[in-house]
Parts: sequence; structure tokens; C-alpha cells
Amino acid sequence: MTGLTANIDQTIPAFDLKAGQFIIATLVLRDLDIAALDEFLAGHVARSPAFFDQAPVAIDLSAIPSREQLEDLPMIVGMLRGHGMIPVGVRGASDEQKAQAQALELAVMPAARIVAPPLDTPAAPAKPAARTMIVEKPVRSGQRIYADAGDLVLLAGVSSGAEVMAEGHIHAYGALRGRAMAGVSGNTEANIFCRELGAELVSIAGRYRVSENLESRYLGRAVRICLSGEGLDFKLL
Amino acid sequence: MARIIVVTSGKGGVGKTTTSAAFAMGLAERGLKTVVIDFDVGLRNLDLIMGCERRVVYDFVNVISGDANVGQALIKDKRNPNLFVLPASQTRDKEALSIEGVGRVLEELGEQFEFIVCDSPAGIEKGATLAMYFADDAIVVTNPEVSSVRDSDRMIGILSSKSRRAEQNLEGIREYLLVTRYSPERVARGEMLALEDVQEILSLELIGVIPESPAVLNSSNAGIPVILDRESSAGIAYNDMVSRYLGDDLPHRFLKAEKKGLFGRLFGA
Repeated sequence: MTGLTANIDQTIPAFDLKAGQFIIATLVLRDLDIAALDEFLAGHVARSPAFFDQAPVAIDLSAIPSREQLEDLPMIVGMLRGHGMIPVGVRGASDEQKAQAQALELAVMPAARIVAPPLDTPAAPAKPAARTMIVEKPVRSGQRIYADAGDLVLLAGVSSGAEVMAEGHIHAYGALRGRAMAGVSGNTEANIFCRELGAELVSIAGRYRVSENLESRYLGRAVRICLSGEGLDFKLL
Repeated sequence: MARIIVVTSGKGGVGKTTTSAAFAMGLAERGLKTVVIDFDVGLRNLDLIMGCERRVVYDFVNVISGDANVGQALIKDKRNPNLFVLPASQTRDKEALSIEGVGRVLEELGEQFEFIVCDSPAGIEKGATLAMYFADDAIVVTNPEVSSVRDSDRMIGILSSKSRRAEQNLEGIREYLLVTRYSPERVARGEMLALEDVQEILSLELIGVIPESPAVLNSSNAGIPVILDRESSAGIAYNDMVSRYLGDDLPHRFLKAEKKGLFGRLFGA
């Protein structure tokens, strides 16, 4: 017997490259008064220590004249670190400034779009009260169900070619054969619970896996799917 | 007002026209005044299967556009006085149909007939959606194989959302599953889906299982609805199906591979 094993089962790729969306605090520099900057940062960190602890921070250089070499950039980076933040990149940098950033192993991020602050901030629309949608009939191929205010309970099957989506959890009591997307607006706590897994695609808060990459031991079984770190975690129920 | 039944499937070539002809003839044989309408404008087949292709003068589109009245277009079946055929146009296309026109014709037919059978074209576009729009009952014809089952599933979804009953919030269309071209031998070999699998995927009331049979081709060549071939398994199965539609609770036949008798095994028939 050679040491080779035929990998007949579906292989799960070792890597996944995905586009993520993150909100990163940005330090907008308008001048290079280091002492004033130190005081400014200390004040903010004191007011919201948890927010800034180990927080990724980008440095916006668009207000610094482009011809000015940024000798102080290493000091600014060190200062941010000293206050507990993690500088990850610069944006709005000129070519000279970019070279400096790269020397410090900081990412060069795309320039910000100038957004004028609205004069009258409209009141944020009230979030709809959480409400569970219950669907009793089979969801047929080509149909789409969207639970926009919470969980989705499916009492009958979801056919191949159908799509079911929820802001919250998805509970499928019939055979789940179509696409199931939970936490569609970014709710990473959302789970998918199903009695018979046969889905074409499952997704939680945008992280997805297609049917070909589902491990065979979960197919046809009662499974709970949740998000663990950046990947999907499957557990037999 | 007549009961309107649409025979539909989504997938093409599964047996809608064969079923429409057999079903309509079956109702007529039981003394019920029936008209069967071909909705496949431009690709008409019902007149061939019914054997009246040489008597077509006016068609469905002529009636909708007012070139002829319903009485002039209807073709009386030579075998049964209860049965009439309204053929489709062959020279026009489905754009010639309109929802108002179809509605008017169906209302007029509803005054003379007890049952109106609408033979839908394949697909989910205008011809198919118009054929189903006014329906009270739907027979979803499905072959026991994956693409037909998926297309039927899609069609069932459309029936529950794009019909007049759905739009007016009335009681929904009564949907029935008819499995056609069933071959228990092929199911045993794993080449075709078993009846239970089809039912599990589609979750519909089963109104009949029509076995694969050479009688279907022979009948269509002869222009005779296959239900009139009393010896064939397909004809018998269609007859059972009509009875079930009218309320008889009959067991389904032809589900198991036939055991060959002694002569069959000796002579390899």
C-alpha cells in the first residue's frame, strides 16, 4: 500500500479568500504637533478605553501637504501603539508618504470620499420590532422568502432552487434543499437549524459554503450551523 | 359556470397534450359536456392528438380578436357528442393572446360546458401563465426524472402566486400531481426516480400514475386520445385518473414491474 489515499469525499478547500467589510477608526491628521496629538489620543482613550484597546486604526494623511516628508510617521505609529491601538494603514497619502508607510509595513488604503456632514441629521428610522416569520407551506423552486425582522421558521420543505433569508435564525423542520441565508444584514450570532440538510448553499452573515463543500457526514442529518471566527461551524443535532 | 382545469408542467414533452386529450375524452365519456382548448399558440398539437387537424377553420386567436365567434371555431369530436375542441393558431404567436380576451372566451364557454380543459404550453411565460390564470384545478404533469420534477416544482410555485384566485385572495387552485411515463423496471435499475421520491419532493395529491406505453405514440399517430385504447395500460390508467378526479378513491395500478408469465419467460417476450 502506498501512502496515498484517494480523496473521494468532497474536499473542503484549505483557504478561502473573501471580501470583508470592517469599520476602522481613522485618525485624521491636520498638523504634526506631536505633543498635542499625544494629549488628544490620551483624552479619547480615557473616555472609551474598551473601544480603543487593540483597535485597528487607519491614519488619514489627506490634510498633510503632499510634498512634506513625514519624518514623524514612525513616532506617530509608536504613539498609537503606546495608547493600545494597532495602526494598520494610511489613506490619502502622497507618493512620498506612501513609500514611508510601506517602509513601516503599513497598508496603503484607498482615499476617503469627502462626505459633507448633513445639516440636520434625520432621526434614524425605528428598527422594526423583532418578529418571527412562520411559513407553513413548502417553499417551491424559484420562490424567495425573506424574514426582515427576526427569525424564520419553515414548517414544510424548501425545494431545490428556492431561497430563504432571515435577519435572525433560520429553523427548517422540513427538508432544506435550496439556499439558506441567515443573519443577512450582518448578524453574526444567527444560526441555521435544520432537520434534514441538503442545501445548495448555506450562509451566515455573508460567510457561505456551497453544497459541494458540505461534509458528507452532515448531509441528510439534523444539523446546527453557526459562525465560529471567520468560518462556518457544523454540529449534528 | 364551468370548472376550469389547466394541464401544465413547466417542462416540455412530458405528456400535457396527451393528458389533456385523454382527460377531456374521459369526462365526455361520463356524459359531462367538455371543451378542451389548445393554448400553445404557434406550436399547436392538440388538434393532431384529437384527430381533427383537417377540420380547423377558425382558432382561439380568431375568437379573441373577434374574427369569428366561439361557435364557428369549436370543432365537434366525431366519437363523442359531449366533447369539443378549440384549436390554437399556428400562424400567430403568443403575443396575440390577452388576459381580457382569454377571460371573455372562457366566460362564454362556461355557459355551454361543464368542464373546460386548458392544454398549457411548456415554459413559464405568457402562454403558460394565461392557460393557468383562470384555473380552478391544476394537473401538474411530471416525468419521474430530476429536471421534470424541478420544473414542476417551479410551476407549482407560480400556480400559487400568479393565478386569478391567488390575486383575488380566493381559495387556491386545487393542485394534483400526475406522474407520466412511469417505468417500474427503470426505477428498479435506479435510472428513474421512484414514485415516493417524486411525491416527497413535490408534496402534492397524486391523481394518477401513467405507465410508459407504446400505445401513447400509436394513439397520437392515429389521432385518437389514448384513453380510448381500452387494452393499453396507459389507457386504463388515464381512465382511473378521471374517476379519481371525479371523486372515486381508486388504488394506483402499474406501479410494480410486471412478472413475466411462463410463456413470457419461455419465449422472452
